Amino acid sequence: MLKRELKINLKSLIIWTGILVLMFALIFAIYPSLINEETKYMITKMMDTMPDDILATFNMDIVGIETAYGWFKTEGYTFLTLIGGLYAAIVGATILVKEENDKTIEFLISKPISRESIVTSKILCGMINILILSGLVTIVNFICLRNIEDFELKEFLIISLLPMLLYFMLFFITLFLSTFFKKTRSSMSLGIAIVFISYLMQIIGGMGEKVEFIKNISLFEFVSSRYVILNNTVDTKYLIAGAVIILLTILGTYKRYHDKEFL
Amino acid sequence: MNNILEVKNLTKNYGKSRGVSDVNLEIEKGTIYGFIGPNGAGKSTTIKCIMNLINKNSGEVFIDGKLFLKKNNELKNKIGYLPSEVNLYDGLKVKEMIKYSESFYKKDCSKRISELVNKLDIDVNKKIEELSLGNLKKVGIVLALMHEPEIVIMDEASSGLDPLMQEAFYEILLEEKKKGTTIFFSSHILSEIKRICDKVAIIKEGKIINIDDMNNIEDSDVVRIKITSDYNKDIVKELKLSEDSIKNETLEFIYKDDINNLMKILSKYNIKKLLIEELDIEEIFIHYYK
Repeated sequence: MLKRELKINLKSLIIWTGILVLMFALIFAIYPSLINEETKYMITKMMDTMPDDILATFNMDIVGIETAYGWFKTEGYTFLTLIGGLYAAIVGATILVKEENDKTIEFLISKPISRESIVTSKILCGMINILILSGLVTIVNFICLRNIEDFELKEFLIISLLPMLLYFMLFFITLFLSTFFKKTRSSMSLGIAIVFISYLMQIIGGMGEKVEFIKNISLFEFVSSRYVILNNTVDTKYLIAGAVIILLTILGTYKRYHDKEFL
Repeated sequence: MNNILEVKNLTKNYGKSRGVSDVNLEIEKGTIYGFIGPNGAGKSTTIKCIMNLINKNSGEVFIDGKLFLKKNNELKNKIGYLPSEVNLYDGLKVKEMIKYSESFYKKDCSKRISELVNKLDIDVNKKIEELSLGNLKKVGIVLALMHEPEIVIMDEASSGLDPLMQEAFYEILLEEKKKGTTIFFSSHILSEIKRICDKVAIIKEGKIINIDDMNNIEDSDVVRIKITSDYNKDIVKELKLSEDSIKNETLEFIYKDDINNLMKILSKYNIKKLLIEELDIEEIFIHYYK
């Protein structure tokens, strides 16, 4: 079953990985030619006009974007988490409920395979796909950036691979929530909404101290690159909290799916 | 233990709408067991409960004497299932679909698959989404029978098949029976149940109202008679029918007794037109099982 799952999910994996890889490769290819003394001056001038809170949201207060690697740690990281997060949320929201949406669940349930094994196959497929996406994007980024300039490998790896925590959280949360639906359309809409709302919460939460609490519950804050850039390590408190969320949603998914009715 | 499938005190409620209550069935090995009732009577609900697609409120299902739970893959090996609506994976060719289904069983099914594919005249190179409803059903039949199950559970099995294919399908079922396979299938078409079943359970409004040998059901045939004659009123009197039976010069009524008696009576009159029709299942429920 896992083999077939990987096969049918291959197309979307190629598309989403392709989007990320092409985007980064293209930007890294043209970035050095964009940066000269004149544009550097313009960037600095533009950034002087921006409020500190906004700059901090994109880490531009601690990292300059006059290098390609600097851009990757700031704006690039936003794309990496947002696009990858969307992919993970969509896979999670649809991979399991698709069988009910297409009514193929009647076929599957009649075969000698338990509901738990069905869930396990779907989870493994989703995780493998997320690992492939992250892995390929990291490798391509590494090759591109190495051709442009020197950068610190440890920080690069943490920043490239930390989004996987967000991807897995989104995948398992949307997978769990999908057990409350029968149609992929509804579960997918919810999945996409979670990504954008969570992202907005991080942005809005960064606007001032009064709203900071909003930021702290955003899933994107779990993988904030700011902590990595400042400390050159991951924030273990968020790592543990993320692992707990993942574990709970996995257990919830198995339980809900075991009891679910396929009308 | 002679029963391959046993349903004990099965009850399923769907909130407001009716489910089934206290359904008991005992299906002996090697029989073709019909499960008949009008639409919405609870046939599919019962079958979905048996297949663990939906949860029971109470009651138990036993396959070959063993309690059949969701996790019980061993018992699933013994079951072939054909849902009322066959839904398969778009994008796959028929042969890939069959192969995928085969991958769940730890045995080589290729011989039986090619027998069934030939008999049902299936084009295995077509894609699932290109298949008509009837062809989809045929693939469903292959998927239900390919692993040589001990019991085949079918919901509205022959619906969607053209008459020629229905014949081939009945033939396959009778062959399966000869091999010792048990077949439990629901239908709302009395004639097909009559044709191939040994035993029949009748369900109405979520309750089993009768379980009988097919022979007994056949003996108690009920038919509809339509007569056009100038003597309609006399016939009504003689048969003690209601005056309402005459509609637009045609006398129409349901007849339950020996048809020979009726013929004797009718022979006394000049009849312009006489029609004897089988009732459909809904009418049987109204007139025979009320």
